[in-house]
Amino acid sequence: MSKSLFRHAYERAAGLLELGKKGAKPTSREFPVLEGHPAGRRHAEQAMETFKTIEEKREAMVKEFRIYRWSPGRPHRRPYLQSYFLDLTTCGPMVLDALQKIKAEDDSTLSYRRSCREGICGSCAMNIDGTNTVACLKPIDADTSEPTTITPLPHMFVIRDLVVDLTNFYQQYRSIEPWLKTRHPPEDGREYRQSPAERKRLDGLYECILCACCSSSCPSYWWNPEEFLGPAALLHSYRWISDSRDEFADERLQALTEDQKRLYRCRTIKNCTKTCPKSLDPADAIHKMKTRHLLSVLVEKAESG
Amino acid sequence: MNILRPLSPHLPIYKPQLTSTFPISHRISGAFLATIVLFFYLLCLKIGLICFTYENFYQFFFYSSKFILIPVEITALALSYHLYNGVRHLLTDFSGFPFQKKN
Repeated sequence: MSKSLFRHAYERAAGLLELGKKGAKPTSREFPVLEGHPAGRRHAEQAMETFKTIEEKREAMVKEFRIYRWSPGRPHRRPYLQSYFLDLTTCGPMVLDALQKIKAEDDSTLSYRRSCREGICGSCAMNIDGTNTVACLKPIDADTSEPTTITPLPHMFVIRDLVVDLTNFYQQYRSIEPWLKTRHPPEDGREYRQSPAERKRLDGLYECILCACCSSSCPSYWWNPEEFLGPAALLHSYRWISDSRDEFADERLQALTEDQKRLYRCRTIKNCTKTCPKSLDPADAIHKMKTRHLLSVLVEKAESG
Repeated sequence: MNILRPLSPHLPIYKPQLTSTFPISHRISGAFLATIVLFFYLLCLKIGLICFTYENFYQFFFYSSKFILIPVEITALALSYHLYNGVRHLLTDFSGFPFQKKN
């Protein structure tokens, strides 16, 4: 106790009786900014007491993080898992907080992408404990007896530590032409209109943040990264096909199904849906596109023959 | 800069989940059943009963007849798994019927 009980009682009594406002109180060692504010000072002192008690009684929870490391500065050194030990009581709840703390205090050579820290930019996508998520939305597993393994997105070329090369991924997104394509100008000359029901069909499709978690979790994408478009690009492709304002839906579908590789390398493994950090369903979108295409093929055959 | 970048680990580190183990075991059981079928086709339909007059062949067949029960059990497991998984796959594939009615 920083103040004895007697002194505390005297001060309260003096305060009540308003004895010598200037002289009765001793010059304070703490909180000079609160001079002349006895209630504020008392409150601050109580807060300090509580904080000191918590500090003394709190036990450290040390968690091991095993993080994938590889540096292009030493390319002949094989990639390895480096262990970092972090006190979880001094760190935020998410894996990204842990990475920030490790980089700030422990090892500043650790490299990873990050931006929004709220799960909307998709930069911090990585493989945590075997599944792909964005690090800013994944809580740290508080079980300190098991280490957490953090590796980059699977089957991608590693630029450094947890940073991977997403050029192919972005090219595939660009190849599906993710913009509105129309033949006619808008009806009233101002904007392309859409009913709420038509807009509802885009729910679950437009929220994709292009984090690449789904595509890099798909074994089919691992074995055919250049030809198979991957669940993310296909989800966006379905988003544009099902947009009522877009008039090139059939052409888009035909471009996807020209060869057997862009869409049909999907084997409905459904790892993508399981791992999506935004809880979207790429497998469902791909399945709907396949159904639509196969039905149109059947219709064509029925009509022609 | 001519550095060969490493490929990030995929199979060794990815958590085996229900969604991913079903399709690959379907494929493995299917391949296994295909080899079994081929083996039995060759044995029963192609070789002919004359093979049993060869002493070594008959001996091998006789002594392995008890051990053959284990592979038979495994084959039965593979067959049932493949069948059930195939039915499940078909059901999930054709569960999109409500979607078709909208169109």
